[in-house]
Amino acid sequence: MATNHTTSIAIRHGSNSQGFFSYDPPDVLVVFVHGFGGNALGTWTNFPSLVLLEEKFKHADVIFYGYETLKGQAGDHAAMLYDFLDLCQSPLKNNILPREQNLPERTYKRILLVAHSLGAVLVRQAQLLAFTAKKKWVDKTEMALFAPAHNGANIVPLAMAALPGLYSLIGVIAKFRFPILIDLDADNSNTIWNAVKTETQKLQDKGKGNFTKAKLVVSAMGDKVIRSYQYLGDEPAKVVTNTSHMKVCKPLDAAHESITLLKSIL
Amino acid sequence: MVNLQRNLHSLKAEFHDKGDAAKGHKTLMKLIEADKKKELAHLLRNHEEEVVYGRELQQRFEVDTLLETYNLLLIAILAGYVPPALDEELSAEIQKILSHDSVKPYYEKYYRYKLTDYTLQYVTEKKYFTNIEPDSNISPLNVFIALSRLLDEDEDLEVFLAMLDYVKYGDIGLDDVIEILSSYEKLNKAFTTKRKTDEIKSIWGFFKYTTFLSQLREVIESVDNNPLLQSAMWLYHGYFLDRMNTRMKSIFVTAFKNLSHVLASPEVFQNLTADFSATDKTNDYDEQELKDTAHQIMEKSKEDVLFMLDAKWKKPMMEYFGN
Repeated sequence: MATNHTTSIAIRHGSNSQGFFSYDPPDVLVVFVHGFGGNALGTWTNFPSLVLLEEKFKHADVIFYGYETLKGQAGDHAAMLYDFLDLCQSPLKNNILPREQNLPERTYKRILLVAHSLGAVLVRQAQLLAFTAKKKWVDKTEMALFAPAHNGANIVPLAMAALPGLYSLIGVIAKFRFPILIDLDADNSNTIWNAVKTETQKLQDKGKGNFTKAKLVVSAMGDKVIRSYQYLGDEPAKVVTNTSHMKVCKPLDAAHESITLLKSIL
Repeated sequence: MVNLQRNLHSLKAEFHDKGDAAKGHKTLMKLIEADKKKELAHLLRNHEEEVVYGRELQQRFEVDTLLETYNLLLIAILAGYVPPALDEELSAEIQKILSHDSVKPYYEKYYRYKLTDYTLQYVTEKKYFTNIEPDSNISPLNVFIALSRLLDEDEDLEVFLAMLDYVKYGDIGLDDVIEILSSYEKLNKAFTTKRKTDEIKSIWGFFKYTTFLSQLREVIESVDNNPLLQSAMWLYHGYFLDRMNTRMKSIFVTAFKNLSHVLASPEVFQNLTADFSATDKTNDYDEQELKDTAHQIMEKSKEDVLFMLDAKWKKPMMEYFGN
């Protein structure tokens, strides 16, 4: 199938975020959120083109949201992501979808948040912010999480695996002194990932917040970076073999398990 | 073909009809249509003849963006994203602007940008690429666009690239920045300080640009089924990779030598997680393994830079256009 989406549209929210908008009226908004050390598109490698060429994504707007992981705390990025998702409810009005593309305003029935590693903590916190702000759209959100760091992560392996190229030396030289890494420390309970989990537990205990239960969790067998165990009411994880913390979100072709699993929940 | 036309419209809407490219187009057309050759030649003069600053500098940046858009169209054709023959209106515009006597010296002589020559030749001589499968290389095209956008939007990269292009910020030039790469204390301070001076921005810019080159290598290698596309992507960044090739080689060789010196300092790998919680984190990593990984990363980055500075990448386009 040929692509049914616009060219890569620069989105002035986050860092180097890009959007691909369906030429047909879309039912679904899919937002990809990368993890520590990633970037809007690079983290996902072939995901963009593979999903854009899939029939199931034909009526979906697809956005790759980026943020600078070495700047600020996870909470800062989560708050910015929440703001962005709020604006996404009327992308044309809010200049996310440029008027020059000559496409109509969108009304999404579903919002699928696809996150890798640290991105899972950001997505969960953004949902909680939307719930607190009584945003109705939060009930339309669903999550698909790849190697999520929502139970914390092992800092040094994460920094060395996730930062691309020469950038990973910055971690060593700075002795990993970046607030966002401290936010993810699996051995520290006074961090955002733990606060998010506690808040989510409270919601789920009250029988609320169905959106906090991930529809899809994909783990990489032998992942040395994250603490991989069941997260509250999420669907049990699908474990992919012969991959790693970073490669689990980098499918090489349309037959890759990560693509098949994502398609299964659309 | 219908889809490709739609893609062309979308590409034009995003990269041509708004922002800096649209402003650059407006400036050029206003001068061309009023037949103000001298004024246009003055705007696009060699800065060594007369310094350029303020509004003129901004206008020239906008013209640069427009030229990049024309070149991006050529890359999109090679990626099978838009039709091999551009529409008449766009072709006429490209010819009118790029073949203008006051514009040509700007990209041919003063700030040589070979891909722009090829774009003009492609449109003028209708040297259409054949055997390009529609949608064949959309993923590399998207990653290429995302990577290239980063260069335009990141302040650290802007400062580093300006210094690479001989700009000085006060008394600070690129040599001073490269010298800092030999000192662990200074580098550590640069990466942990809250206030970024131009010098510190340039250090960050060095690491970001080197990473950019590694990522660009990945994109170029991913399209090894299409040597013309590889060549065009390389030439798109030809201002530095081609025009400043010799200077870049020299700068990067020194930079990596200095970084090797830093990685050899024992204090780099000591007390790595001292700032984390009281829990003992030494089990998280093996110091020797970390040292080895750091060295491997540096060697790989060095290899990536040299790979990207290999002038062989311009050959397929040179051979296709015969110059």
